[in-house]
This record gives sequence, C-alpha cells and structure tokens, in this order.
Amino acid sequence: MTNIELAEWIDAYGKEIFSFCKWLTGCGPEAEELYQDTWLVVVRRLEELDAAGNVKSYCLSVALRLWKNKRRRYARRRRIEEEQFSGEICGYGREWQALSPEQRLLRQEREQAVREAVEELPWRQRIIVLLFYMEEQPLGRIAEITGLPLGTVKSRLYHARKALYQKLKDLEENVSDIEEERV
Amino acid sequence: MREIENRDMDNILRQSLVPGFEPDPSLNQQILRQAQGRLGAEDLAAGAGAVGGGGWNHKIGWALRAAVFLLMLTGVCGTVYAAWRLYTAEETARQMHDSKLAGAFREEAGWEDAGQQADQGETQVYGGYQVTLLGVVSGRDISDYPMGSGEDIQTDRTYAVVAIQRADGSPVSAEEDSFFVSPLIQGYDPIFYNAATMRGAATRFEEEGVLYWLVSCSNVEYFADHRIYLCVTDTDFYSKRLYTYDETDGSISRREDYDGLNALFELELDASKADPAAAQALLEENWAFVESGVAAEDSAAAGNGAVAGDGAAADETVLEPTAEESAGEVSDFMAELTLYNLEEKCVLLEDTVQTAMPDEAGMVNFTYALPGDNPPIPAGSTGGLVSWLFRQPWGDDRHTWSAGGGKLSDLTICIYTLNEDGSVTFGVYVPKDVSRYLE
Repeated sequence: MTNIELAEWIDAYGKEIFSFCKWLTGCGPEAEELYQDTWLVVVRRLEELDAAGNVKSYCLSVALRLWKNKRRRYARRRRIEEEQFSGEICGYGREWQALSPEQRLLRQEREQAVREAVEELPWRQRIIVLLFYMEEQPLGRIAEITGLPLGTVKSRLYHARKALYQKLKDLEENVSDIEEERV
Repeated sequence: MREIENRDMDNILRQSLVPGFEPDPSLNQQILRQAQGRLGAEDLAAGAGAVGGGGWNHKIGWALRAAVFLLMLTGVCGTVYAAWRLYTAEETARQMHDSKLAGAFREEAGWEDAGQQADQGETQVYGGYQVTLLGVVSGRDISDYPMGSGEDIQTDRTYAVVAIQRADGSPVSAEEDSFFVSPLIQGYDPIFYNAATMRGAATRFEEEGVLYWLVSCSNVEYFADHRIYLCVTDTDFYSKRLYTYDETDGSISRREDYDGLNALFELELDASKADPAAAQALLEENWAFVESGVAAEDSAAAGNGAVAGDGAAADETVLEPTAEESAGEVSDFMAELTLYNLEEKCVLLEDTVQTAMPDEAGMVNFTYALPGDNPPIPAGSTGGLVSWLFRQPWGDDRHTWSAGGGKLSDLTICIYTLNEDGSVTFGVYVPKDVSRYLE
C-alpha cells in the first residue's frame, strides 16, 4: 500500500467515515480525534483488511471499536458541547438548493427532529440505524462490522424504527398538515 | 392528516441522516503525514510484518545463576521522537513475534478492544518519564516462548506490557535510561518477591523514542485475592528507596520522596482465579529455583540473628543483619551500580578473567573458582549463546552481566564483554571493602 492509495481511500470514504465519527461522538474535537485514530489504526492493521475486503465497512468497524473504547470519555465531553453540536447543520446537495425557503425550513426542522430522535435512541440501536440509513450498509455487513449475529442486528433495527416512529409521528403529521395547507 | 408508512419512515431517515460532515482537509493531510512518518515515505506497508521497524530483542530469562539478585542495565537506542499512538499490548507482542501471546492479549481485551489505543491504559508520570500500562494477561501456555528449558520449563505465567516515554517528548536514551519492571504482591515483601525471584523474563524494543517493555513471571493470578501491583522504576533493580512495604497490611506504596521514576500500577485481576494452594506451591518452586546457589547455613545464621563477639557488654553485642536487611543492602548496592561506576565500586577478581571464542553452536562457557576457603567455594560455571547474551534488556550490545549473592559480602557480578573478533571476555567483580572474596 502506498500513501497515494491511502489518500485515495480518504478521498473516497473520508466524508462517510467522518460523518459516522461525528454522529458517534456528537461533538467536533472528539470526532476529529476518532476519525484520525480510525485511519491510523487501519494503516497499522492492514493485515486484517484482505484484498477483497470492503475498505469502508472495515473503517466503520474500526471507528466503532475505538468509539466503544472511549465512549464514556466522549460522553462526558459531549454533555458540555451538546449545544454546539445541535447547532450544526449537515451539508446539503442540489435537492436542498431547489427547495423554497419554507420547504427548507420544514426540512431543516424535520431533520433536526430526526437527529434528536436518533440521538435519544439507546446507543446500541443508534449504531445500527446510522450504519443502515446513513452509511447504507446491508444488514449482513452491519453484522460483520458490529460483530453481532444477524438476528440481533435485525431486532435492534426493528425496535429502533419502532421507537423512531413513535417519536416522529407527531412531527411528521404536523409537517404533512402544513404541506397540505400550502397546496 | 395521513399515516406514516414504513417506506415514508425509511425515506425520512435516509434524507435526514445523510453523511454530510466533511473532514477538514488539514486533518486529512495530518493523517497522511503521520502514516508516512510511521511507515515509510512511499511504501506504507504491505502488512503488519512491514509495520515494525524498530529493533527488538529476543525474550530472555533472567540469569538467576545461583542467586536471588540480578543486575540489570538497560540500554536502548533512541531515534526520533514522534507524537504517535502507542502500540497496544497485542501489537507489542506481535512486534516481538509472539503471535500466541498477541492472541492472548487480544482475547483478554475482548472484541470491543481489538483496535484499542494505548491511551486507554493507565498512564503515570514520575521522574520525567511517562509510563503507560498497555495490558496484562495470565495463563498457561499463552506464549510462543515458554520460560526455561527441559524439565525446568514454566508455561503458566503472567505477562504485562508497558510503554515508557520521556515526559518531555525526547527519546528514551540508551546511555541514560535503565528500568526495572515487576509485578508485586500485597502481603509479600517485594524485596524477596519480585520478577527476579519469580522466574522473571523481559523483552523490549524501542520505536520512535518509546520503549515497549514486556515482563513475564510466574502466574501471579493465583494471588488474585491479594492486591497485585506492577512497579516500573528507573533503577536496575527493586529498591526500598522507591517503595514502602507496610508490614501491617502488606500493602505497597510509592515513596513520594524519591524524585525518579517509581510508578506503581494496581492490576485488576480476576479474584475468582485466586488459588492459595497453587500460590504457595509456586512460591516454593520459585524459591527452590533461586536459592539453589545460596549457602543454607549463611541464610540460617542471618535469619537467627547469630551473636558475634565474646559475650561482653550487651551494648557491644552485634547482631548479624537479617535476611531482609542483607537483601536490602544488595538491592540498594545493585540499584546504584552501572557499567560506568563498576570499577569505582567493585574490584575485579583477576583470576577469574578469561576469554573464549564461541563454539560451533555459538555458545561460550566459562568455569571459574572464587577465592576463600570458609566455607570452600565451589567452582562456578556460566555462559550461554552469544547471540542471546548480548541481546538482553540490561547491558548493551557489547556488555552484559548477571549477579548473585544473598548478602553484600557474598555478592558476585559476572561481566561479559563481546570483543571485536567475536570472542567473549569474562570476569567476576565483587564489591570493594566488604566482599569476603577479598580477604
């Protein structure tokens, strides 16, 4: 492996890995530390990543392991910096640019509510949700990343979705009402 | 109002949970720089085997030739310090080519810790050094390199790994740094019960100014119903100047008045593994091993506090030192001794000096006799593989030594010097003024 290849990996998967770290830690400095540690561990443990290995899922598994090791420390800092995190806005693409100001506001509110709802999930469920929805990892791969049986992954995802549904139902109904009124 | 369907829910979650955070480009650059700095400019690594880089030393056993005490002079070659994550215990074992032990550390850490970084371990800073406890594991047959050989082999052992750095970031120096690392047990005076008396072995390698030290000894997990410590010192041997042993409750603590390195970690062992009977058997086995060269009558006399003199006034009565006091004398003397003050503190017994070329197997052996006839001193025999002798964590590339003696007056220090032509010169030193061999 060359540093050029490493740069290519970082270029290809950096954003997704960093976003995962950001979600895991919930605050800036720790996310950067976790992201940095993740790549350095990946470089040091190349033997675990065979030629056919999925780089992104391996990086996610490393980030997850590191975070689990340090999550108590991160959690302490997070309480202090929670407000800072909640004020951050994810990057948006062309779809976002095409929305009207009202739609953007609605979407922003909804996304904020979703993030908060996901944040409130037990961390074991939250990880599965992030890997499934944000990182778009298939269930079988999530089982590999987390080291959990596939049935456990499915179960956690099911319960997470159920909890999210209960939390987001009201908000989504309100959003739907507003959208219907606008029409 | 409408019901949210499962598909709606999925879409909402996907839209809201986009990976929208971008790492700062400077952060990515920093990662690339660090990776490059560690693994090489162009070829980062094809696998773990290429990741190493630093020189390492083979596992060695303490040369407890016929004595309780051992002298260690540690030398390592510092290179360029780099602010880098430390190896884990598993990675340290792997660097030492001990895959079985690496697996044991990995299993001990558990899956969740498989990628752990060393900052997870406890770190202590004393005397200008920063010591990080990377891991501890105990068990039977968990290393590729069992201790001893033949009938004397011991496979049931405890392994501990520490990383030692200078607190100011400068590299650990071969000329200035020496260390002693050992488990200690509550209720057992560390003067008598430390790695040197528990069939200790040490392996170390240095990388990027960090010294990784693996110490092993007889399985202390059997003592898990006691508090188990790990001491790390900047001396060559355990010394009472660095730690206090409380005889009332058996606890061991750092001496705050020592201004050097005297770190003391408390190990978290599984108390259910405690086995008093096995612990006692282990102690007896170890003592039988180390006492083989100590004259029994000397120990008995010292332990009984034999009265010297002709029975005159009580205030003139002189008690011989107890075994503990003698041990303290020896350990304190050894703690102060280095290759550089050897000639100042000791005298070479000229008759023991000899030079030999290694045989076909790479072995050198020296047979020698010590002066004195009360009691008669049998001839000694020592030596070993040259490639082994000069790769121990004490001494340096050209010098190594071992020492033995229950009392300062009995102490002998065997010095081995590797010559330019491959031959080895051997000689025995004894402490000035007090040695019985100078009479």
